[in-house]
Amino acid sequence: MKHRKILLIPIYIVLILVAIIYIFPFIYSFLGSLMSYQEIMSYPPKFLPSSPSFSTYRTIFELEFAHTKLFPRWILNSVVISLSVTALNMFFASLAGYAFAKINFKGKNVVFLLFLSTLMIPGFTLLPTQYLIMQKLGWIDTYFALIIPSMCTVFSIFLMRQFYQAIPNDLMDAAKIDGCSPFGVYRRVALPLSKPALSALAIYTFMGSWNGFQAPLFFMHRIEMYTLPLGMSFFKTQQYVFYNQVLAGSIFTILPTLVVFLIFQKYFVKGIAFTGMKF
Amino acid sequence: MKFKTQENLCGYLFIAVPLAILLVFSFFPMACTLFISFHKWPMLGFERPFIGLENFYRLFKDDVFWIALKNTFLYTIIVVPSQTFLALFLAVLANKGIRGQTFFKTSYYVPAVVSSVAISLVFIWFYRGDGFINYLLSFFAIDGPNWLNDPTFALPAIILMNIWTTSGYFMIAYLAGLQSIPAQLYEAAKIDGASAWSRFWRITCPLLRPTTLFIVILSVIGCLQVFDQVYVMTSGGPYPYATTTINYLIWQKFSFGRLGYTAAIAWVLFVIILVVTLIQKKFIKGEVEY
Repeated sequence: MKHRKILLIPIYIVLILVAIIYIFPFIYSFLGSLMSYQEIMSYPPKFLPSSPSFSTYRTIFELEFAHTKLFPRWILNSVVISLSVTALNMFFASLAGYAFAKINFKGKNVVFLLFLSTLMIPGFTLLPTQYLIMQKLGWIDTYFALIIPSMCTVFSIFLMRQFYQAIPNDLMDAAKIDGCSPFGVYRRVALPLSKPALSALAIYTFMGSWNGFQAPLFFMHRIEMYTLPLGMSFFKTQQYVFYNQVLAGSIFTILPTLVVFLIFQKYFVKGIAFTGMKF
Repeated sequence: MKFKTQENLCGYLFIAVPLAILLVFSFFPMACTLFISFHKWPMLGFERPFIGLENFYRLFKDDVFWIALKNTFLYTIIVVPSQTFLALFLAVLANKGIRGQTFFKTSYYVPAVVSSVAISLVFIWFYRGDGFINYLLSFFAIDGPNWLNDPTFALPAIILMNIWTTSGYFMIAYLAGLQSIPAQLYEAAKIDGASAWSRFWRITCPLLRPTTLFIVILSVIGCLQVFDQVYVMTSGGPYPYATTTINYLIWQKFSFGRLGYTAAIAWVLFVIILVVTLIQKKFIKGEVEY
């Protein structure tokens, strides 16, 4: 037993070293956001702020453009868009996922293949035409452009379908025999069971939407309609911006997803298990 | 109403909205992008003449497109194996019955869940000429380049960062795969006198094949579409040495408003991704029996 413990020591050392490499950039950039501009650009690099202050955060929250405080506005945009996308996905994906897993309707397999085939289509192929559609609909620079196309993604539907498929049919059959309608079976039997899958789905969707970049880049042109990541990338290109402000903004973009992840991480691993390696 | 009819109705009702969204925002655009690619289609202006394969022909002769394509493949060929090996290595170590497995899993996963734009911004700071990375290198008496402004080092800088970002995600996938291998197999092999090394090669590797297939296919598809990091960190510069395909595509739309040409690039890349994925599925067989 002792022998085995000694063997584990090098493994711990490697794992801890790697963990430091993975976490350090976040801690360091947080520390950087508390430094002054001079400190942040100094060489050799400083690791601890000499007089830590949150003044950089205050500065970026006060930045104005055309009487709008940009940063709070970007946060609002990101929050509204990602929460709507998340809620809509939970609703529609659980319905459709259930239909594909447990309801025997005509042409189900063909339609499901049709759905799956879109997983092969990379997002960028659609963007040029989606742009034209948004223009026609007058949705450029509106929340619709980012919410509607991703309100029920195939990935979400697939995740829910995999989950519902694992529920034994006996449960459904019992409810049917007791006189439940197909909708009743979903509402009373399947839905109450799907909390873990819905949680995993919610977290994935929220993060994907919050971190999304290409779609906002294509569809949001007015600066006050930017999402947080788009705003940050724009922020960087402005010559007069100081780097401690960019760091503070990045920390702010990272924080919500990080917190959600740390709280709900067990669902993450579950999500991987649901969609599974069943390729 | 009969239960069967009810069931049909219910099924269609449940999938109606997703189906409509899919038709309008996926299938229609997919076909339409192909249609646009056969036209000269400026974003402003109303002349949109049909030009047949001209966009594709021009693309074929476009030097910058070839550079972008070469960079994209270089990026994929380096990132995919490195991150897969790293992920497997970390997963095998973390699966050795150590304490604090959750802590390690969490810390490796963190870069994969946060905004790629924010990470890129942070790394611009690290990669500065007199930034943190070069400071580290100076301990080994290496005079680091000005990474992101150097034609030779801009792409490697992004590659390194992305291996760091994504390996944690795949490590968790591998860990799940490892934990699904029945322990009896290892015990039986041990009794038969198999060394740790041959247990790894004869048991772990073959049984992880479905996981590997999943990881490699997903990450190749992802890598061929690399965009956010390149756009934020270098905008594909120093032009055109570090541009990638999608970056070039976006650039054609935003700088020149050439929607037809943009669409042609999109379709060529789509076909490439499709072919590469099919080839992989053929070569790494997913099914394992035991």
